[in-house]
Amino acid sequence: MNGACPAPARGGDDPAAALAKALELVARGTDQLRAAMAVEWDAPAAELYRAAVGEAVRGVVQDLELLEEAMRRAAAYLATGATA
Amino acid sequence: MTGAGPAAPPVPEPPAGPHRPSDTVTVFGGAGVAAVESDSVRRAAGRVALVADDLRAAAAQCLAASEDVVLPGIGGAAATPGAHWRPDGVGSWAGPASVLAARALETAARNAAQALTDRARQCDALGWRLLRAAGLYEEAESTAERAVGALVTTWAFGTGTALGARGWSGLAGVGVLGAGELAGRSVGRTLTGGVSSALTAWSAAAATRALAPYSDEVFAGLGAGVGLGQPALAHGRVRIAGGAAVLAHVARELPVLGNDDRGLRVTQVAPEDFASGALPAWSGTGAGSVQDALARIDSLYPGTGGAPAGTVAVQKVTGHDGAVSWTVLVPGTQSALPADHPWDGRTDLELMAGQADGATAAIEQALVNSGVGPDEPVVLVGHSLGGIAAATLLARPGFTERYRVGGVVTAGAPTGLVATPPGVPVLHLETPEEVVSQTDGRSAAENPRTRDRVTVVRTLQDSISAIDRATAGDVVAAHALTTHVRTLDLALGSGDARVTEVTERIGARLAGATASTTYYRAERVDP
Repeated sequence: MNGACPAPARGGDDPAAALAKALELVARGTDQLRAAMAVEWDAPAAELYRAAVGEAVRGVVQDLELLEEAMRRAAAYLATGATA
Repeated sequence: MTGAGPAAPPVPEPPAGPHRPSDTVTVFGGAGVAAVESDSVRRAAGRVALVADDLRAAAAQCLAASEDVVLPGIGGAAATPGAHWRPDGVGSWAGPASVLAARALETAARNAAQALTDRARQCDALGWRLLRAAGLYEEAESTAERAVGALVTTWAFGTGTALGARGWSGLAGVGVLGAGELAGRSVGRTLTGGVSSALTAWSAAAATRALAPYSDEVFAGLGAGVGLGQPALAHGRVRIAGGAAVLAHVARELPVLGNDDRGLRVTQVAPEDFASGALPAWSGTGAGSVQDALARIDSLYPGTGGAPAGTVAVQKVTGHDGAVSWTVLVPGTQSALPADHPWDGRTDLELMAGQADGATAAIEQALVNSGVGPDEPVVLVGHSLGGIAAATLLARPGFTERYRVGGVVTAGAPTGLVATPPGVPVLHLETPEEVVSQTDGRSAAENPRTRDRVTVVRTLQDSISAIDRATAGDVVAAHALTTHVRTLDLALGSGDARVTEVTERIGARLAGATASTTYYRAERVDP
């Protein structure tokens, strides 16, 4: 799996629902990532790891913004469909 | 209810190559983290692996969302009416505003998917790096590499046996080919017949990269074959040591080119003996680090440092508390053919064969001449031949009774066949592309692994760095001290616990309040 772009999940034919599911997964991942920062090891490698996880958490926050942007676009798309 | 305990945390997969330079470093041996810490490290790595899975699943949802969008007039999704959700919900197409919104949604969803996929890779790499730095990731040769390696060994064994069985002409051929190869690479590309074309350079680089992973198998097979072809000269040994014994005999007895001098003269080198007319600038300063000590060896080569051939450095360091320690710096081969000094191909072969050699004899004489006391720690740092000599001395019966060895560092040296005693920190630096470190028929992974003995190997061709990739295709550059110093820098930069520990143990012996260095030159002489 690693290194490859994932295959699309089976959609429910509703982009907003798929994005909501993605948001849920990312939110859970963010919490897990914060928890993963706790490693009981007093060593330079652990310091590097904690710093890198912190950076990854900040990166996931940026990814969430992209996801929220997609959700806004989905809402706009639905709105145009509803008024067509 | 199965009674099984909690599931083991998932193990993050290594990042797909090419890698950032520090990820091309692999460490074998040494003391990893304690058991209590290893549980915590494994849990943390498992958590980030789960995060990576979640992020990949989220990316898949984003891609699904982008595919759920129907764009009129476009193939794919739009070509299968009814298969997808449509904004109007009844199957009729929306207007231009809907098209724009659909395109914007598709783009946004794909952007999010790409970002999440990249983030998942980052998380996998975080866990993988953590496990590696703690010594908890099991590095393994791939099945394909092992299979090809076995074939290469078989082929090389057949070649070695055939050459050995041809007697003098075949053995001389092995020697001349080997010497010519080394000399050609060392002296420069002009030996390619004056037509040092881009094609020649490219093909040599490509061959180096392609064959580097299997060079240990080539030497294992060749050495075993030569030993079998000449069992008397190999003294019954058919592995690398047997082949090396046969070739060492050739190096001593070969008409015209051979050198069978058994005597040795060790003399102190004066400043005017250096090409610059002065001793190296660092002579009065203790090495600040293991990397510093390694880099200093360049000053002992005639080419890069202007030192007389066959020169070693013995540095005495006195700490603030008056404690004395010593550092011995030993360069590598300076002549592929037998020479009037022991830093030649003959000594390489004698060391590999476990025979008496001039280099270790010269180092021992230099220690005696310097007045090294039995309780004063000695650190031996060697490059290439110097590394084999350093490890050989440590393993030699009686040496550790005469001297208190504080550590051994080897760079680009085939030391896998040398058994070092416990309690002495030993650090080996290797890269497969240099070929030299694999002439013992052992890859870095096959070097002895103990708590005290650490091998750090860097696979240059896997790096994203343009410099590393260029170095990967150049045996001389791959073997250079600068390459090995960078390897150690990267390993320490990654925080690897095993490298940090062994380096700190050795490094503590190198620096002090005052330092003085004496240089010795060794020459072969008739007894």
